[in-house]
Amino acid sequence: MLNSVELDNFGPLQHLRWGKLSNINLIIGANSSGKTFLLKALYCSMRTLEEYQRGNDQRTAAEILADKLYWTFQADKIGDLVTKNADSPLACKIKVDSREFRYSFGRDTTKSITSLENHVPPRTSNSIFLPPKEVLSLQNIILKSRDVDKEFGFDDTYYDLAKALRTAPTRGKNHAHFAKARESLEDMFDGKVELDSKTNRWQFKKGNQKFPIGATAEGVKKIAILDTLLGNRYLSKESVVFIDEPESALHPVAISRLIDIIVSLADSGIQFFIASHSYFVVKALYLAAQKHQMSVPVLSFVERWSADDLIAGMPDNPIIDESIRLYEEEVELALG
Amino acid sequence: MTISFVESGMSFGPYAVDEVFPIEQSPLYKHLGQGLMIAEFVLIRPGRGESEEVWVIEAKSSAPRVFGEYVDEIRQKLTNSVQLTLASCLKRHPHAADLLPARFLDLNLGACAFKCILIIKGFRKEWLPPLQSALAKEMKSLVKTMGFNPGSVSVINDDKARELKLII
Repeated sequence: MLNSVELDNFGPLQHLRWGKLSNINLIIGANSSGKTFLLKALYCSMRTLEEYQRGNDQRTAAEILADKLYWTFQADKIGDLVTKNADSPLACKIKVDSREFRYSFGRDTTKSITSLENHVPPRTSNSIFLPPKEVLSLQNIILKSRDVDKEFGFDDTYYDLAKALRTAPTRGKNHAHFAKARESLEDMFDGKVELDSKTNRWQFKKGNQKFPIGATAEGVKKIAILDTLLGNRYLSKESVVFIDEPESALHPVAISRLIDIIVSLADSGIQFFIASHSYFVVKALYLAAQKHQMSVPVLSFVERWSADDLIAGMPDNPIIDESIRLYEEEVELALG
Repeated sequence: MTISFVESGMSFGPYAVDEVFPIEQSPLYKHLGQGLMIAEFVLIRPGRGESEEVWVIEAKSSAPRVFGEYVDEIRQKLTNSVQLTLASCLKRHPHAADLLPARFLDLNLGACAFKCILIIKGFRKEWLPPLQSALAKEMKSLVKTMGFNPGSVSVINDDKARELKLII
């Protein structure tokens, strides 16, 4: 589990401290405040720790990290990630299972990270990043673009997800929480998405009917991704799941149900980091925190980053402020 | 013995006499002089388990016209009512023991939950959530400093108030 994070001069994140992390963690802020950047930075670190010493991979942690940063942020050189005009290097320090992982590099760094310290033992888990857009209908294009053409375009968050979805479903009894979550996910749209082994194409199965993935609703495809990752055992109880804008393509009712499922999966051990703009996501997580008396640390950006916890109440944030402004506008139109 | 009354076009009650503190009509409030806004009444309700809850009620028959002023007015009324109720229970005001309904004197002030509730007659349900968010935001400092639960501020309409048996 990721316990804390400290970032300095990491792109738009000049000075960020976030501790006492829990199984569900929320990041809110306006466009370009750096929410996705933060998720990606954490994802790169987690994947480095997970790929390090796996199987016969002989790469050092520094090599894995440099590769991950390069393909995730797709800058010409990783030194470009250092905050412009910063007078000190980019530095990242995280604690995972109470052990420290830290690295730093300057703006002239092309691909070799010389300062890296890792005290986290090798991990067998797989963490994943779920981007706002679904990837099922683009899976083959993403894989070709990266495996064959080696081109920028689809970053590592998309590429890793496309690869993870390729893992065949595992038969046998799944973890009880996971099995229940899959039932709930499939219930949401009264059907499930499966890979047709003959055509190697995804399709949506509803009762006896089958629909091509291109004709399937965006929200269904999005939910199907989580369902598939639980079904093929890519995710385990030690995984960290980064979700960027879970609300995209989802109806508010589906958002609330998805949050319920996330709460149940978090209870089984999976750790979630969620970046959101949505009133419904924030409110549903606030209610979950109150109902289950569960800590949900929230990092919000209003002029600067500040850390709160939804168990202690709703933090001041522009999402709520905007909902109030719209309310005022509506009352003015109706009664003014 | 019970009490019922009409406020903002809604028929409140019946409540047991010793469980309702008509704070706006009370000498405890009137002796404080003008310029202090106050809610309609305070009610003791059974809470979950064995604990009791103190509900501070403000009733309105109209929707906000000037939003910021409306929310601030409600905040002042509810905040003043919480503070005056607590101060009276602690007998900080002269004659508080004689003027407070009996059950209020037995409240476990350290343990009972406080709920601040605004009831608006005829208010459309879809308008309630943002108003609740706005009022909760305004009242956050009271909720935090008093150690109330985060969800202690509610805005409801008369349908919900009837469902809660606050009005008939």
